[in-house]
Amino acid sequence: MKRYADPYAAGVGIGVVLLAAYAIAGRGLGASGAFASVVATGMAVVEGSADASRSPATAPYLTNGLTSPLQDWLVLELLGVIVGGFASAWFAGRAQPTVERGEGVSTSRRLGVAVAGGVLMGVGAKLARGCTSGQALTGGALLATGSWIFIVACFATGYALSPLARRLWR
Amino acid sequence: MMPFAETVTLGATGTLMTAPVLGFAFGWCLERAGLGSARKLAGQFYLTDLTVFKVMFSALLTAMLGAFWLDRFGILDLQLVYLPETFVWPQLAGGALFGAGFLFAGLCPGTSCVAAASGRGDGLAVVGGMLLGVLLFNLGYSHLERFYTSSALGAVTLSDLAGTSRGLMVGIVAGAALVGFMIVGRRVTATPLHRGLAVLTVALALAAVAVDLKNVDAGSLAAEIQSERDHISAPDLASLIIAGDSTLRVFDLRSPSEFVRMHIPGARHATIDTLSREALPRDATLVLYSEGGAHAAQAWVLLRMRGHARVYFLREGLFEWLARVMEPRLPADATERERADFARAAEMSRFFGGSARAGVPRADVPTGYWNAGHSEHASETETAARQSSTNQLIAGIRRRGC
Repeated sequence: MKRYADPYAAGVGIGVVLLAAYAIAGRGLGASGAFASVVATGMAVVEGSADASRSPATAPYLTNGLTSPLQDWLVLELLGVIVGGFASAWFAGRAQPTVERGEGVSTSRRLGVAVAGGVLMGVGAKLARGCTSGQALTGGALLATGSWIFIVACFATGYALSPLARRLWR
Repeated sequence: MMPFAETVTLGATGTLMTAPVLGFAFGWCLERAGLGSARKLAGQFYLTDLTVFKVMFSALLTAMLGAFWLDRFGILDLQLVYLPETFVWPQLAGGALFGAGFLFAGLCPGTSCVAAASGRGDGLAVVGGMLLGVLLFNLGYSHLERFYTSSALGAVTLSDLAGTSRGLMVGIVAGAALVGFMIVGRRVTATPLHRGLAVLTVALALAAVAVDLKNVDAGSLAAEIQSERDHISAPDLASLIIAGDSTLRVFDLRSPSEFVRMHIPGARHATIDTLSREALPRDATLVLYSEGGAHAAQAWVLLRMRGHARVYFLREGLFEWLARVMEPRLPADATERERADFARAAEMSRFFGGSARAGVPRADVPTGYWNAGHSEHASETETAARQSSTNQLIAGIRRRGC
């Protein structure tokens, strides 16, 4: 297994990619937006596209009616993230089926907490209109006020609640 | 000029094709740094592993400084890059919920995809949880809508809010992050790479503060206005057009109907609003005119604040163009200087299909005509008089079928 890269160098690499996204697409990177797009499309399929296009929660993701989410910039970008993440792990000898958990935490407990954490992040990212990629990184580098509010709120809460989760990560 | 998507250089499909490529590089860098591992990310909250902080803030600094300088060199127009809007309370609450979720999941949305891609079941569980969370939000949206859309401030930056220049805010953020890096890395010796990056960051950040001290300084704009370097005379503009200056862009700020009736050759119609969003090359010579001078002068300030150095306006608007270039008139009792100016004007007039007339009675020469470029700002009655003479001049030219 290869050692991890220098975090500052990797950060500069991500910064350059983000800059390229500003320059080419006129927007930054994102992740939760792609989840939102997939869910909106799913809801449109189940409820019928007319209903979903009328709801202000899903309408912004269905501007061209019920089209494939593959026409969404963020969805394609996140597919790239998945492939890139896999390729990097593969070449570093880190790609293998596993469930990462703290000592003394059962696999099912870890998976259950992971789903719960995901739910909280899903709701939080929708409310905040973005996640660590779309708000913290993308908006933060553009000095957007709301992005910095997000960064402060996110990490302040994480640190404040960290004693509660200590057993999970020991 | 970038962004390509906004200036339609790449086209919709071309832009879409870049998404997986940029995503690939993003995912690769995240995994290389170890951010596909939940334990590594969770270490951030117990100060046992600060990789998240290091990666996130070096990415943020790189993009922030890069965007600032590309914009300043006229390569990227930041006005056209989507700036996330601010909603104070929803983003505070959303950030807090997100932070709690991040702590328990040990992964954020982007890194959960990387974790899942490298075979981690917990990564996949977080992805599933995210989808469920978004679904719950959408289903409950009608109850959340009021809160979700509350405290909207629009697309404001920290520098807008604090009333500082962008460069100063860039400097403050870079300084704070560098101090953070120093505290985090105080027990390890810095490698040459780290030292090099730190020096580069300090240099770019200090330069950002310095250029903005000079650039958005209202005092220097005031001095330019005072010394009349803010305007161009109609004959000088005519010379630029005749010379075929490729950097020249002329904008007509009057109403669309007036623009259709008559405009300076090569001019494009614009409003202050479209002008504020338009992608313009940084090295362009921008000339603005309106009916009188007011709108053009306002647009001048706006474009100068956006960092364009060569912006000028016709102080007397289209009237000046018609009176001094299209229809120059020489009074019968002209002075030596008036005759010399007229000879130059008559030549231009022929070029633009106007008609020069010599030997007209002094009374037929519009007020302030020969000295239009030297007069102080016109009074209200004079402006009204000019407006009607502009209409007369246009009517005359149209009768001749120019």
